[in-house]
Amino acid sequence: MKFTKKIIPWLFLFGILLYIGCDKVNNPQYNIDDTSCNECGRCIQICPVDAIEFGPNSKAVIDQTKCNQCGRCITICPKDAIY
Amino acid sequence: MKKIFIILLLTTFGIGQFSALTNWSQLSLNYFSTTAKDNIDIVTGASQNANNINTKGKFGVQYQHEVTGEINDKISFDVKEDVFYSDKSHEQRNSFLVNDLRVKIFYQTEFTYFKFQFNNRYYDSGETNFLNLPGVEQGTQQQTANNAILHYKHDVGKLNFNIYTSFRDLEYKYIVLSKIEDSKDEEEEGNRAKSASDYDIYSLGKITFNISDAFRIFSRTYLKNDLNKSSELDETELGGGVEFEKRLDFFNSIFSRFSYYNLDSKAIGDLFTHNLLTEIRYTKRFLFPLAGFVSYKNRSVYDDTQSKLLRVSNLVRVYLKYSYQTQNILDSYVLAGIKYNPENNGNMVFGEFNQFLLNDLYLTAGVKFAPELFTLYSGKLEYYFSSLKSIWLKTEYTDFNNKSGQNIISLGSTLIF
Repeated sequence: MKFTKKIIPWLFLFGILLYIGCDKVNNPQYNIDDTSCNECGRCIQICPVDAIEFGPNSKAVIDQTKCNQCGRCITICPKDAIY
Repeated sequence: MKKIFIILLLTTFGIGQFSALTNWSQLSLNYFSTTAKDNIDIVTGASQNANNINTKGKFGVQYQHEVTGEINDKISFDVKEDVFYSDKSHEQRNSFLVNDLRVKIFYQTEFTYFKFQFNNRYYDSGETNFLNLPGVEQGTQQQTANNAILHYKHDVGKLNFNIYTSFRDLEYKYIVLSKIEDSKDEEEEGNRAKSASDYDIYSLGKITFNISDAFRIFSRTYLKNDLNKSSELDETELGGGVEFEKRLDFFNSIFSRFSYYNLDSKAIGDLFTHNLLTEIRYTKRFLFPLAGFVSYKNRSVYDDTQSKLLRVSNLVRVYLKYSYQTQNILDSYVLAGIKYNPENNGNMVFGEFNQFLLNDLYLTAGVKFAPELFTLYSGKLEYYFSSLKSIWLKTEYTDFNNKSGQNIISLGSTLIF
């Protein structure tokens, strides 16, 4: 178990470096950090294309088929949960 | 408007027959002003028509109420109501009245969880702007959104079953050209509003197997069906992953998740077929006054055509809070944090402090600096009659990178009973 404790952080650090180092996609895509979302629903009210609704754990979820990447939800979110 | 008053009455008094009730209510009077000189970029939080609508001072009233309670030891409920009426338009919708109602009923035992949720969101129709909603006629005035959710979770030994389905109905109006009935000219056409609906179903099925107390593996399927458009806006996700969650000791805990899913959707495109999600969160509690966490989230896709891993979004968040006890109703605190999200211009640093001034009078001040988007300054003066009753005066000024500014001053009260 001690070995597991030691190896896991290093595996994730390796993963992080790998991801940060690779190229970025051309089409942006917004997502919601469900641990930060406080279920206030302000992003749902402001979304001009109705692309956000409450998901399984009552946190807001973006429907990527409808989202037009306008970014309005980023500004309105009081918990800065959009990324 | 009549409907909203009925809902408010039901929310406040109708469920008062249940014994274990907690009410939270907040009433505020808001004053808005902006300094927009030109049309504001869509990314900002202000209305696109800010020059015409929001430049002068506008007033608004917001009432929020939440009731939580237990019907018996297995069944509980949560009802939330949020009514906002203002001279100021509600952003791009140009709606002056918004009513948001959420009703949840839970059934919970040691191994079973069941939730029914109903959400209703209403925008007044009169002045609502025309929106371009995906999957429906272009140029619509959206009025009502209804959302019915069923969520069921059940544990059987080391297995956990998670089933979720959500049915959404968007009610809207759209304008068509049609012959004017009263006109003597048979060819004369005018605008005529028609009502229509857009239906979507979202479903999730997830099975989790607990390998040990800390390790879990899971498999999940997520489906979205647009019932109006054949299959253009449908989505299918199929995948799985591994989770690790452990409280290392009293002061440290760690959560991590790695998952892959295959996505099939015409609307999203082939680039997002192979998705990788990584998440890690480390929470540290120092001796009482100091606590914080570091979290990292990554979304990446594997592009088949280039045989390359591409990053969609990275999120690093660092948060630290120092609380200190006073001899008053509440503790005071200082907090600071960083959000690193370069892919979506979401980089940010923020800080806030809360300090008691006199015995039950508190001052909160904060600043949020997002270089690519805005700077937000906030201040709040709150007087507590008790830990459950307070009145407050709040101001929030948002500077959208010197292009425009938006100020909101609110006077309100909070009551818990």
